Amino acid sequence: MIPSRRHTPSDDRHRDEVLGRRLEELDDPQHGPGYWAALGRRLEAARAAEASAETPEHVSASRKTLRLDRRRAWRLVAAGAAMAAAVAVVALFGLPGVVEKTGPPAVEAEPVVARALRALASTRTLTADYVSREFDRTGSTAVSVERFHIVMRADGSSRATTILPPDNGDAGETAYHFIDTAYDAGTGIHRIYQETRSSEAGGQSGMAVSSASKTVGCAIGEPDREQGTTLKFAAFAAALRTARDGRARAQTFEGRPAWIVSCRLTATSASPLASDTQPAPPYDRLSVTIDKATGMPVRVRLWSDDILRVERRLENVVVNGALPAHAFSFSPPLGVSFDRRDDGFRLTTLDKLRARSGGALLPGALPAGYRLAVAATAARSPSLDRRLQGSSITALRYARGFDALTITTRDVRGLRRPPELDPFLYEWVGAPSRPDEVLLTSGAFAGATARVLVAPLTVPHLWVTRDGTLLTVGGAAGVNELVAIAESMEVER
Amino acid sequence: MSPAAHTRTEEIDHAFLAAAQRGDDAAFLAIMRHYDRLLRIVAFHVLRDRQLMDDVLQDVTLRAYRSLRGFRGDAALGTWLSRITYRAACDAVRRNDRCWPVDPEDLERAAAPEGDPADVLAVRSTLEEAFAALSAEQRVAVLLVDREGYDYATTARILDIPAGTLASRLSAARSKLRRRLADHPDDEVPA
Repeated sequence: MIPSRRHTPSDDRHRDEVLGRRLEELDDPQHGPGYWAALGRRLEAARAAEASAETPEHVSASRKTLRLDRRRAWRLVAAGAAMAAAVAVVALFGLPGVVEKTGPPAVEAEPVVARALRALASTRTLTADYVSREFDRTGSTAVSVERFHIVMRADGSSRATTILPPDNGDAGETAYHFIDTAYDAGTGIHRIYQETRSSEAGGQSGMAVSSASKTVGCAIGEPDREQGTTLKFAAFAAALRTARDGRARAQTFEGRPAWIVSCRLTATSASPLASDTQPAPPYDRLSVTIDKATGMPVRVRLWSDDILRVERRLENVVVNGALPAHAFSFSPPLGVSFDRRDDGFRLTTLDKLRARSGGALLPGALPAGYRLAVAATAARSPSLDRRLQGSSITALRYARGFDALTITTRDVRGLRRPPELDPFLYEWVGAPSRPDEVLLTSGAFAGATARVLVAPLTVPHLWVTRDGTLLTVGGAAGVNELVAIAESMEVER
Repeated sequence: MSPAAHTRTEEIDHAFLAAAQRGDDAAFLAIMRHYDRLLRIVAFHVLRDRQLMDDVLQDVTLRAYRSLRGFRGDAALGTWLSRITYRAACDAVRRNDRCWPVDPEDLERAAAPEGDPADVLAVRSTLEEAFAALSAEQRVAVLLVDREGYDYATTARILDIPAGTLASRLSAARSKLRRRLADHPDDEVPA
């Protein structure tokens, strides 16, 4: 039985709605990292205290003592350890490969991050060179380097083209893998061209193996759409949200004024970047560099034990520039033809969804500014990956500038699907994600336990199953927003 | 969250309250998560400090955990929790006015550098500045009534003031905000 929505009429005779709408620009304050885990520990201690029949006065006295001790401890650190702290700061910032140098004083990151998120939400087009590096345990050697030229449009269209290293004609065999991948949200067509070429000494071109595919009926968003260009950029937004409770310093980056926002990461910050050969370390520090002029995040860095492990950069960034007419489609080279595929998604409308037998599960609430961009259905998942298996798939994509949210539902009855199986992360990634578990209290999924993951380099997402229906919510949102969306899902007819 | 961009938190299903009162900890945590946004708004806009907000809300949660069995439903649960939160936040302000603990991160701060203070200070919009200039009570009142859509009776109960007093505080806050916003329109991010 799905509870109906109850709206209690409020006495809004004296409500200033114009002012209220203006006040919506104020961001909601978020908890610091680890808040719910710390709260859980305090509740456990309170329960244990009750169980051992301590009096409430004794417990609150103990708690007060703890708090006083903590404050006293901080005063001792301030009074007696200032010199040691200064030395530590200099040592920390002086080590190569460690965090950004000191300079102007640090300030709260929240307003800086909020401005960057507003810039993202109002961006229409973006072109940039995307560079990704992952470093070994010493931080001195890049074990993986990717370079792409990316083009993105707010409707979800995207293109990524490998930037090839210059041909230096050195002796020895060199090989490269070239990819051009383009998704046109207007047509729902995804094109990929791949070429692997080797060249031998003397610069003679060697063998080239190429393939091209054109897919219609593409999924309109995560998790069904293959994570590619949008994930690369969504990672920057996710990193921003993670860092909003950190500190910001005004510095320069690539000769331009910038903010560098830094924060510590907790044990619950998952790391979905493990490769087959290199398990991901637990990252403990994150920094995001924000270009002041454009408000865009242009670099994300992750450290483990003060060793730089991951760097993602955007270079040569152009925001809201004009794009050529066919920026998101291409023809393969002569002699190569497209393999054609149909992933089975078909565009639809909310009215058609509501008119179906059984109605449609739709969200009743969304973060401010989001509008429905496209809705689609598919009879079954085109993927063989068990994390995406299901039938009667409905996908809704909402957009707000470059921010996007995709909500999907699918029938998973009869599938042996572990509840912890994350639809958004490849199982081979390695280190298990550690999502928050949240008991949903309202809507069609009330009473079910949702899993929510907001981590620096993955699309923030939530998943929950109830009565054979798997719900996923993924995109530019924080934990509370994802949960609120899940709790607002209702059947509409 | 739409249909309005921010809407008042609906009251949680009574079954969760009943379960929590019987000692179901998962139900209790679900209650606190359900009202979390509302309580963050109340606490933060009194304290204007995120760390303090977290500290106060953890204390409020423990207090609610111990008191929930005695909750008789005289007020809505959200109203009850918000009132506890508002009082706790005001108490924290009074305590911290007397004694401000030093955060070790503050040790990193150098003396104010020369140059344009705009490069040092966090970027704040005109709206944020105008809002910050209100008193704590005015901030919470105008958010709950004008943005979140709570009625006067509920908001007055949260702030523990008569409805008539709330009306005059709201009127003063609105005038102040409108005046400042009219004088200094915010620079919008280009569309």
